[in-house]
Amino acid sequence: MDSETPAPAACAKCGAALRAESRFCARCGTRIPAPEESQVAADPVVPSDGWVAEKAAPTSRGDALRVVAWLYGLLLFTSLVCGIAYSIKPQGDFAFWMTLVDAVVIVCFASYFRNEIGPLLRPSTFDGRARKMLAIAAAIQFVALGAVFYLLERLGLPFERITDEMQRHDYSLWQLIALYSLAPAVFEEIAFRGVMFDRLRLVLGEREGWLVQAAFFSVLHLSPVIFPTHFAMGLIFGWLRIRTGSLLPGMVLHFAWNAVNTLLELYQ
Amino acid sequence: MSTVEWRVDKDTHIVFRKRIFSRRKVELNGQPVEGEWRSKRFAFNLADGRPAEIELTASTLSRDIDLKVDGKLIPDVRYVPKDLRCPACKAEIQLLDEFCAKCGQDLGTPARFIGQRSVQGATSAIRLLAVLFALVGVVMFFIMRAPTDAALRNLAQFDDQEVLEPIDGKTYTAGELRKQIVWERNGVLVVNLLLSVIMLVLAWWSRFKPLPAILIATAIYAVVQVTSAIVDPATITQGIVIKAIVIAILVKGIKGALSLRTDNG
Repeated sequence: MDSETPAPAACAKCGAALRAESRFCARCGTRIPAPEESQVAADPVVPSDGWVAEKAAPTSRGDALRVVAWLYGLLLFTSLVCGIAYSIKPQGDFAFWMTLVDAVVIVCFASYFRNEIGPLLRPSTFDGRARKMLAIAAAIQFVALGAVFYLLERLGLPFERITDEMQRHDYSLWQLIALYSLAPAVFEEIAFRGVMFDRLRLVLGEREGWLVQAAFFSVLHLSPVIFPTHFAMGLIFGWLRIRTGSLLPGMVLHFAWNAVNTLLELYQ
Repeated sequence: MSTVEWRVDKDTHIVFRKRIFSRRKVELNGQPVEGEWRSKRFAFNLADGRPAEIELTASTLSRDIDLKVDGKLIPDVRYVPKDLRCPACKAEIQLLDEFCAKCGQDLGTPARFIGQRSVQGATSAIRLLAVLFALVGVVMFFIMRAPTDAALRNLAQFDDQEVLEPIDGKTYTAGELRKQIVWERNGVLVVNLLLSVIMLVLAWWSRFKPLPAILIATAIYAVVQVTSAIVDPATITQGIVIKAIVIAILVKGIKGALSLRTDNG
């Protein structure tokens, strides 16, 4: 087509009227041959935040949110059932069963998405850079959040005592550590920073996905008083996940935080 | 009186009016359109011959007034930004465009803006929850003052370090139990005010980023109901219709916000 040939007035495919200087039909999206030979990229557009990923179709965004809703809903449901059972029978060993059921649920979801979660758990991801990020995050968490929790305790806020479980169920120290430090660290990281964050990132983008997974993490602890502090923790663990591309540093920090708090309670 | 306006394109302006005790009226470019309403539907033709239809449909708590042109749902002017631009290349687009004429970006149908209606409903629900949390906190604080004072009077005879009989398997000293009782009264106020502030922040954030804001508000509302159920299982059935309506509005808001998302997030 030479430069003298005018642009068509109607789309060749659907017949819709074309506006002046249109390169695409506004009704069917067909590319309009231009008088000059300039090429227009019709490929997926790079998002303005620079995060290039596969173009998420509307159906897959809805599916991603459904996965998050199911995982969140199931974890909340086990909390509801165990909480009611505990209020009826305070001597029951429901904490153990709740941890077990949550672990099974999370492992099922992680298995379904093993192609995404597996690489996040490889030991090779816990390299020197990851350890450096972990050290920075640990410093922030232990100093800043430690100060906040200390202040809240001084203000008289009652916190659930893990050592009360020791009294009720005659747990040994290692059982306490496994149930209240190790298990939450491993499974909560897989659930929130693994499965949920990957799905939320697909729908919301990285920054908003980071904020929302931290919010879900904080509210699922069921105590509004600690929403702000656990939201901050969720942000720190999420930051580690994003910067290192691994779940391992977050698991280590999460475990360390839980274990230190358990030991402090025991020996105060 | 309800008035709804649609700007289908720069040459087509449709208005629906319904005053109390008077008939429904439809205007096309300022001129009344003659026709009959059948089963809450009004069919007519635009100036260029395109078929159009106005339909009244019931929604969760209100009634929607929808316009379709050529079978496509057209959002009314409340939900369409004044300056319509392609999310990819920022070129000017028109409401009926499904692809950007400059870069070919898939824009979706005009109905994508209808999601804004559900988003506004959800944002209003979040604001209402904020007010309710604050009110409940204040009311419960005053209700609990008398029983708290009575409990503290009963404990006055014990020293702080004195160990009391176990309660629900937990052992307290008198000092710890006093703190617990005072916290239970003050905590109701603190917790509800905190939830109220969080909901207000989420309602403000939903003006810019509706999807994450409504997601978090829904998660918080669900957790509050679960926590109430754990403390008192009888609350599961109390107000269940209201709870279901609130959840339905929030979920609809999530779907509406999802439909407004572009591929660029």
